[in-house]
Amino acid sequence: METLTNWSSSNPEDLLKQVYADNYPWLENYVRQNSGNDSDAKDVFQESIAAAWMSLQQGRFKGDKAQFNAYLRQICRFKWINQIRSAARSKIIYNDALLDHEVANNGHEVLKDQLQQSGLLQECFMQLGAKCKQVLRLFYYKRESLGEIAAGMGNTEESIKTIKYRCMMQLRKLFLEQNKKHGGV
Amino acid sequence: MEEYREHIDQQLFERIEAYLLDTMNASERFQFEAAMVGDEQLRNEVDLQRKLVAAVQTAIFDDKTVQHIPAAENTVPIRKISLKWWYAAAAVLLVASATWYYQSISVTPGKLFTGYFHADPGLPVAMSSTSEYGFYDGMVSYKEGDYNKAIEIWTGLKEKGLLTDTLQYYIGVASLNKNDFEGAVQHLLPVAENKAGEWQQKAAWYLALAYVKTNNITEAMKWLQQLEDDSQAQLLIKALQKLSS
Repeated sequence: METLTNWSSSNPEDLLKQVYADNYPWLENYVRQNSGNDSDAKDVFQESIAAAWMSLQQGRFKGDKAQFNAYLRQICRFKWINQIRSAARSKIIYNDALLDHEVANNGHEVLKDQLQQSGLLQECFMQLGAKCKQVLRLFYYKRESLGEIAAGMGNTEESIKTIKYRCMMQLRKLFLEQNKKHGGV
Repeated sequence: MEEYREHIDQQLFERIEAYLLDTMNASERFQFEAAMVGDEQLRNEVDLQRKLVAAVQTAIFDDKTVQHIPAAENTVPIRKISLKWWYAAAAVLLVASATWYYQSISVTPGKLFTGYFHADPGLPVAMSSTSEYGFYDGMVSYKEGDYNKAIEIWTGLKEKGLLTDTLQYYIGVASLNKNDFEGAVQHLLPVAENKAGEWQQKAAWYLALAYVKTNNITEAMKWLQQLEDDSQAQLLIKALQKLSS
């Protein structure tokens, strides 16, 4: 069974690329069939993958790759259905046999919460400076070593280590403030 | 006590990071996990740092200035969310926050169920296995969210004498997913009682949740207490104890 749960020993870049390749074409097709366009699909994917990935990292989702893909698609469907409803597109034609089940499913409060939290986190990350984003991305997403990052940016390992710490603390502070404003924590 | 520490120094930050990235040796890991057991703030910080790392990793899909996903991005360029969706999201968030605030004034078993319940995602489908075709046929329906159809298919197999713990477990969780709590208990109970079974622990967890939802706290506690190594179960026990006190 191909597992995704041992994420810390896998390369997140490879995993996320694979998840994207496995699911994005399906989502584009799904959104097109349900009154949306490719641009809507991109927004939905971006928000849904953030929520699903966060769940995986937190250990709230446990399963193999196929199960993760199914889980991500569930979030995408939920997100899209909510989006078209909140946009009051009353004349929308649904081509989704799953809709009634989706609406009846009691697990949706949890999905809403995940989407809200991951949305806030994404918003906070975007507020960081360019250098912060670069260092964090190279370290956590590309899994480059401090030495590689330092060499690439013409800096010392020790400086990169400190920059990384400060940037993460900045992200932490932004998130806790935002989350408090929105009623969390 | 505050949920999070006021300040995280660089040393603690790097210890948490080493724990999350699995770069600690066995002894350090053991010590760190032992420290977490008695330190709720530390556990919260670990979870928070997990979220932050996850956000950094998936922000790649949100930033058009980054070109790190060649295979995917070449076919579908990523763009940022349009302003109208931010407004819509902000409105939804506002309503959700207000709803959450008013609802959170009193904790009920129903709210605990909602907070802790996460549907079993199902098993990978292996349609080539003809002997188990019926089971996987049901699994396709399950994964599509068509729980009635999945239960119908699986119940047919059960009537043919093909009853296994796996089948029984999935009929139980499918029932739970469609809010049929009586059906969930009926199917999950024998699986949870089978101590040697592969699905025992998961069945006990979902059985406990079904009992929480139906306000049968005594039975819920009984099953949760069997899940000693499950941190979610232990948290739920504490929440139920608070509810009863």
